[in-house]
Amino acid sequence: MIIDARTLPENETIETDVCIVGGGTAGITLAKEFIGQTFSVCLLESGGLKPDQETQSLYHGENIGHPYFSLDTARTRCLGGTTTRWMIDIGNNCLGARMRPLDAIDFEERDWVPYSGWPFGKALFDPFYERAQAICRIDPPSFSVKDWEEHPKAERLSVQGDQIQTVIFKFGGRDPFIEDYVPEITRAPNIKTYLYANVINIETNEAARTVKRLRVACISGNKFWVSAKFIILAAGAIEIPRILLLSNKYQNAGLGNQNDLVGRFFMEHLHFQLGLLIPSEQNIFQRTSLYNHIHHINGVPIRGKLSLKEKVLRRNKLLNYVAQLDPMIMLYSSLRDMFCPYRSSDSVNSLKAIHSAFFRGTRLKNPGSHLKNISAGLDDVIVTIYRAIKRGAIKTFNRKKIMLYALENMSEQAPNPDSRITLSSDKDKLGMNHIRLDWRLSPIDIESAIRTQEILDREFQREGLGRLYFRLKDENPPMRISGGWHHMGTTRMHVDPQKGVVDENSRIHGMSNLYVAGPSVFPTGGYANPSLTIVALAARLADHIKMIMK
Amino acid sequence: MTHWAMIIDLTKCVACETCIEVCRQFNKPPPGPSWRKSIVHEMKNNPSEKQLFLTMSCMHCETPTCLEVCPTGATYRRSDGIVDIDLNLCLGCGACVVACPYQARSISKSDIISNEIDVKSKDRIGICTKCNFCLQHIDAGLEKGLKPGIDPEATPRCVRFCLADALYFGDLEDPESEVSRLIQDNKVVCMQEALGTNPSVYYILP
Repeated sequence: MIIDARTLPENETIETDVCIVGGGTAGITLAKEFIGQTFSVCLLESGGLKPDQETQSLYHGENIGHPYFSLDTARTRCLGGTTTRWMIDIGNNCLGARMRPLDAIDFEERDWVPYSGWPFGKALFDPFYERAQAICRIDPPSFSVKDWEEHPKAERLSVQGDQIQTVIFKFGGRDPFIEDYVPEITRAPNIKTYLYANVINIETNEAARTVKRLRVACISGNKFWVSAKFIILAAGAIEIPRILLLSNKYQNAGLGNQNDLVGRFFMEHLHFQLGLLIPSEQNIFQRTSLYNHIHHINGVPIRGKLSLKEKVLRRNKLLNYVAQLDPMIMLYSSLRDMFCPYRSSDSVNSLKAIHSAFFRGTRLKNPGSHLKNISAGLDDVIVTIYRAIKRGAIKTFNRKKIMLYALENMSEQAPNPDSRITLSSDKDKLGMNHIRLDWRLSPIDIESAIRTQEILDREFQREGLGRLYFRLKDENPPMRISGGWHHMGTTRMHVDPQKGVVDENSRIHGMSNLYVAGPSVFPTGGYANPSLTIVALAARLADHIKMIMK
Repeated sequence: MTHWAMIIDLTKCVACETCIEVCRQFNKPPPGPSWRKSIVHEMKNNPSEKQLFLTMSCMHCETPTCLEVCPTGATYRRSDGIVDIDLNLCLGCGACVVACPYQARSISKSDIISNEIDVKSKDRIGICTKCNFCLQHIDAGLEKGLKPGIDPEATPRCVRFCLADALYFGDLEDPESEVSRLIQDNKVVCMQEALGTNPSVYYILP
């Protein structure tokens, strides 16, 4: 049943067994798992069936760290949540997202990655990955390359060395979640879904150990209460810390924040172009079809990518990493321009300024200093004009083209306590503080990427595949490193309350009935897109809650 | 007679840019400016609460200035109101790019093609390209007896996948169509009306 919370009487109390806060990937998975159970479930969704501007404005926030997406457009507040932002064309007029489990090494405590380590290993988690794949409809569960190669159309590269490996990414559609699971949930007799219901406070007992009830508000003005035996926050890695930090009646620093961890360790997957792979032979393009584009194998869209083998990561103390090969065709001359950009001297800059002012019909500022620069560097001016003519001629007459690959990377970000979410002094329409995101990269993030490109280049050359020309050259975080809307880590999981906000069962340390679902519990994020792990963790948490309720 | 038109409800757009992304993925334009763009304008009085998201593309004008200046006749207007470019006739002279008051046209000068599998983008380098209301889907849909704007398969991809239901498409000449109803029921505006280009894209203002 779907209920518009705006129609509820003021201060009404909704009694339920389990309350899920957030109707996104995790919330939908949880609710789906609870269909047909003997206990009652209340799903609170901040938005409606479609996103709207007023609700989206609740996401508004400041970015004060490394450049990041505008926060109110980086997520969608409506039933479906982030699944509505899966935008990859996966064929048959469907949109979807990349899906892959984390690697075994991602779950380990690695001495070179501070704060790394999940409370459980991948082997224990694999059954949930299998279930998650059934939920996302990307069965069969295997990610072994041999199961997804097409002979001879799309085979893996026969790399002989022991450094690089091919990995398979599957693509899951948004339709199962939005078109199938949401209607199933709304039809379920034991589940009530409330739209336009925003949790603004978590009320606990004085010891701040048990949640008594949730204060829920609609932008339209009315407020009500939800009282539940168990509460699961599934509102994403930005909204969950905001709710916890603002629920500070009995814990001044915020609920679950007794060790100053809520909102810290914000992580993303680092998206950037590592470099260009210039193949030694152009026929390599016939051998790399697996990596070039999406293939549909037994109805599942897949694409191959390249990553480093586990032992290479260990030996070189690297963060996990994957590269996508994007084919490009360009002129030889453009390639040279790309790698040997011409830096103008003062005299040439002055000449350009005069040229620009003349054609725009504007008056030149300080013409005397420009003329002085030109006369002092006349040789530079002549050389530049000669080169410009020569380059123009080459571009016009020599149209020889080269096919190459851009290496688009997605790499792990090391957990960093200073990369964090805090509360801003600005308030939203519900009177809640907006958030302030300070996304910070660590030196290891960049050092690891640089070292990785060196290994890849060496291996490409050794295998005779070609040569990698680097784009990432210094150790400062380049501005062009961006995220992928993958918010992770802000209520991290650890068995020790000093090191994590939630325990191994996703229950907030010190709280008896408050749980967190979603990517905010990831202690580390690997390179794989988070969706599949979110669904697997939600299925695992659903089992835990079902067991307790029995 | 049919007249295809688009309504953009600015009270609903949440700037998710799905329209831009699906346009890029399904139409595969050549490298350079997108066929669709979105401008986010923060209201100065209250930046935290109020933003205007303006999404735009080719306006498919009734009297297109781009058509008048095209020296080869590559730009043409179909009887259903869609303004398109004949790729075989376009010289890439750029006259239409300058003439378009909506900056909806561009010429890719790039010699970089992002995907060698995609022949479409390769053929469009050096000539003018722009939004064509996904006319291939409209025409194919009409042949199957589908109704553009109602049947997803025959509807422009940006409209079909709009998350917030902010984009509408349909026949302006059909008084029963949703676009006709929206124009009747709301205060709609077109961009740069004073120029007399009579665009087929209408905006519902917040």
